[in-house]
Amino acid sequence: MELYKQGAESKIFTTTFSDRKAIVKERFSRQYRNKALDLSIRKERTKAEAKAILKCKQGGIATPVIYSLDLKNYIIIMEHINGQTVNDYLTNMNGTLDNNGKLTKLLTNIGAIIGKMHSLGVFHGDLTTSNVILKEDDTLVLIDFGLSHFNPSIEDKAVDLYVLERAFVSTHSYLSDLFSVIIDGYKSSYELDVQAVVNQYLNVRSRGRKRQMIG
Amino acid sequence: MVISIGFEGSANKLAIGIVKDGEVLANCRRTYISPPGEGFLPRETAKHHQDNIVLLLKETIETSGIRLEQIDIVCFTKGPGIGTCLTGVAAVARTLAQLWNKPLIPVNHCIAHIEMGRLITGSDNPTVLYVSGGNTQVIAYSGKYYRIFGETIDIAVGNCLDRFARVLKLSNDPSPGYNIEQMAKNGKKFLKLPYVVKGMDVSFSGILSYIEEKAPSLLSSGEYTPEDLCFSLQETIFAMLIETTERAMSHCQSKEVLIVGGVGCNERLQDMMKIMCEERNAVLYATDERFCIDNGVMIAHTGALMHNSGYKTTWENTFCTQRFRTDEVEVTWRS
Repeated sequence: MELYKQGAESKIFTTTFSDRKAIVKERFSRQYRNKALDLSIRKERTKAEAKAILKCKQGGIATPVIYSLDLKNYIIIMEHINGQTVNDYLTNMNGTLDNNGKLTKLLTNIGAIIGKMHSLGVFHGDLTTSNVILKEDDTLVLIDFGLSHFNPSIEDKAVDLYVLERAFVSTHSYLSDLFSVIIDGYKSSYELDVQAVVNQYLNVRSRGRKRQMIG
Repeated sequence: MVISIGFEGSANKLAIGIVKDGEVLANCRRTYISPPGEGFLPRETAKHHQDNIVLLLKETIETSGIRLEQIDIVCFTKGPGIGTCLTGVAAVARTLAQLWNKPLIPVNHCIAHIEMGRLITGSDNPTVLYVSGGNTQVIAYSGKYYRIFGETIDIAVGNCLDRFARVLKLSNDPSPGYNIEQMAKNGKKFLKLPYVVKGMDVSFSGILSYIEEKAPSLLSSGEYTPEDLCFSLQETIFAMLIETTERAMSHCQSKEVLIVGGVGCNERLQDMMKIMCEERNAVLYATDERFCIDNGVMIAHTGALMHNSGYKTTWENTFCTQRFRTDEVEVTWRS
């Protein structure tokens, strides 16, 4: 097994599972955390991730296939997705102009997938551009469901959009005007009361500390 | 060469510092300490600042060993902070700038913390964790701005600690957070508290309500000691901070962390951050209470950076504001 990436809470290794390329996601023990806290966080997140991936897949959203789940060691073995993260894609574009509306299409699709996920009753909890993988055939795959849960409130859904916006704007500041395209995509696929979510998202957005308050 | 004097009084610390091209000549401070069980109130804190500022100014000038006419620029905290405290200190800075006929530079308090941390530790382009009584932000520099990756969506981490110290009636001398830190060292039994991370953002108000409500019965039944509760609270909220900092590092592929702000002198927080950094081959930069806690030098230093990069402002723009975000300031002195 080869270490592929170390995130904030897990190590990702590449391997093969029954001749297929796979990744091993291990929520390893964090030495900086209190032991009891560490165990409960690792357990809860491993469970949440497996459940959300399954539910999304059943609902027709592209997520990695889970090959094996080990709740004792907090390990999930899943399909290796070939592609690059949307974060990398946007960084590599590095400010070049949108060619033939490809970027607009990508952002609309991201919004549409989130809308669909919310319609299925899944809250992601950590939506960043690093957690959406773009495959070569332009399919988008959602990953990293460790902070997810089911039956989100309107507030939760709004927070998902807000977290994405923040990650989007802080790393790709030159694209900040384009976030509205993601919201348009979201509106196209969300099946419940879209306006309620969008209004709440505007509320959440205005909440950050020490913002200018007008009126 | 610029000799810069900085005035800071956005919260309960009144501080004046003098700096000459990054060399600290004087760093003087008076802290307003409220009785146990109480926080500091705006009116009384502002009164403290007004009563002390002239004496503190004399002390600072004497410590620095310079003559008044050697001072080139006067800097003060424009915000964010408590309105009455900011305006009182700014009035003094404005008067002196006119009296001495020197440029007056309004400085963002949060940016000053970051620049001071960079100066003292020599870190180049760190991911910054800014933690204090009024602020909790994870910051990274990109394209002329310090961008906020994650922040608290309600109260600041220091405010959460301070308010819990009031529940336990701990002394506010030298600071409630310091006393919690000392108590926590003797805590053993961990109480599971809510752990609230939303993407890169954190929330503390729910945790505070939870522990405030539970504390009286847990303590009176003898199930937990005050030390255990301090320990549990620190372990939980610091783990949240480390995790969000690490998320930001992972997202920007950064290999440096800088901790600034008053809570940044907590040694347990520094230890936890250090362990996290070692686990991912990153480097931790932290400072001690002289520069973590609000000080005048950071205002003087940041003002000098602004001045040297050609910053000028009109007299009408030297006002104060309680709301002044880190990501509003164009960083003209960095490439």
